[in-house]
Amino acid sequence: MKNVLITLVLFLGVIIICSISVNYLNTISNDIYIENTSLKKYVETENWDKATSKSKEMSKHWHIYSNRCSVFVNHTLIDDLSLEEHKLDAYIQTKDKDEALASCDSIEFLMERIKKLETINLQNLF
Amino acid sequence: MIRTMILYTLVVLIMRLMGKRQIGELQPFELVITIMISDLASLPMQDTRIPLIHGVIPIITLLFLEIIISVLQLKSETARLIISGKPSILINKGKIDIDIMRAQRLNLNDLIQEIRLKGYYNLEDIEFAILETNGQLSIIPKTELSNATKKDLNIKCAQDSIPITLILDGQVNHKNLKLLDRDNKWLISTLNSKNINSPKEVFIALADSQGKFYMQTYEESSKNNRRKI
Repeated sequence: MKNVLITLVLFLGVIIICSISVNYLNTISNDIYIENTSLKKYVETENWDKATSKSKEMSKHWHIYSNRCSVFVNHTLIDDLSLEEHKLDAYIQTKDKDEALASCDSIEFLMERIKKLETINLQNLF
Repeated sequence: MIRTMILYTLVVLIMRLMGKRQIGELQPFELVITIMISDLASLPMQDTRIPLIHGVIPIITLLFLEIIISVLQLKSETARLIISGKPSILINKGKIDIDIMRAQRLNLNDLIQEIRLKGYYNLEDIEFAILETNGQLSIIPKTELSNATKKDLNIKCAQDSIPITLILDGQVNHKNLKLLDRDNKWLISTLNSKNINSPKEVFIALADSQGKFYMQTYEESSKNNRRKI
């Protein structure tokens, strides 16, 4: 009976951890999406000063998020997004509008991919 | 290295929680779970890109399933029948049941080999052979060929009990002494009667299955070893 109780407690712990991680992923993906959208607008209007500061701010946030995410997200996915983040920073520095916009789209796609991996759907189940 | 330590500790804990059945004879569902757990634990152990939690969550989920299945088996006969199946009688009243042998995809050589491993050499000595759900073969020999017991021979004897360790590696087990309704004084006086001054000189001392005091000192142990060398 003791074993059954410990197992139930462990399983409940797993469910709690899973729901916390999914919640956290939803929150940070929304944050990144909002920041990325405003950054995209600055790049489109070629407002490079604001784009630079926004990109730095987003990098800082992503650095914090990625450290926490690495506990429950495959590190390869996090590395892909960090790499794109670095590329975007470099494109903004060189004022390369086309590449910067492409990078913004990549970041959006990668963040969405991380989020989608945790949702319950047929693609993830099979 | 730290990952390996964490996962090893977790898997040991999980196997303990699954109970003693998991380390003895495995039922089909237990075998599946054991194989899956070993694979799940080794993946994050060797690939640092995979978070530990990706190994831990499925392992705990499997533990949960295993416990649920074993509780179900405990409570319901139907569940037991579905999950573990039922034993198959391969030899019934001295006759091999060919249909059951076919259903179990067991050939005659396998059966004879298993029977030999159980210590029987003639098929005609066996009244019943049962293939248990864990894959083991149980054999009931013909009554006239089975071993005679003390009861058959009308020999009177006292019931054996569990041997209780009193001193192990020089350390007195006070809990076991209490179980025997004895105290430290009794132990010391028993040791003194055998010319031993302290329990520290004793390698092992126990009350055997007949309740008799048995002991071996370090000196005796080392002498014995030297003789063997």
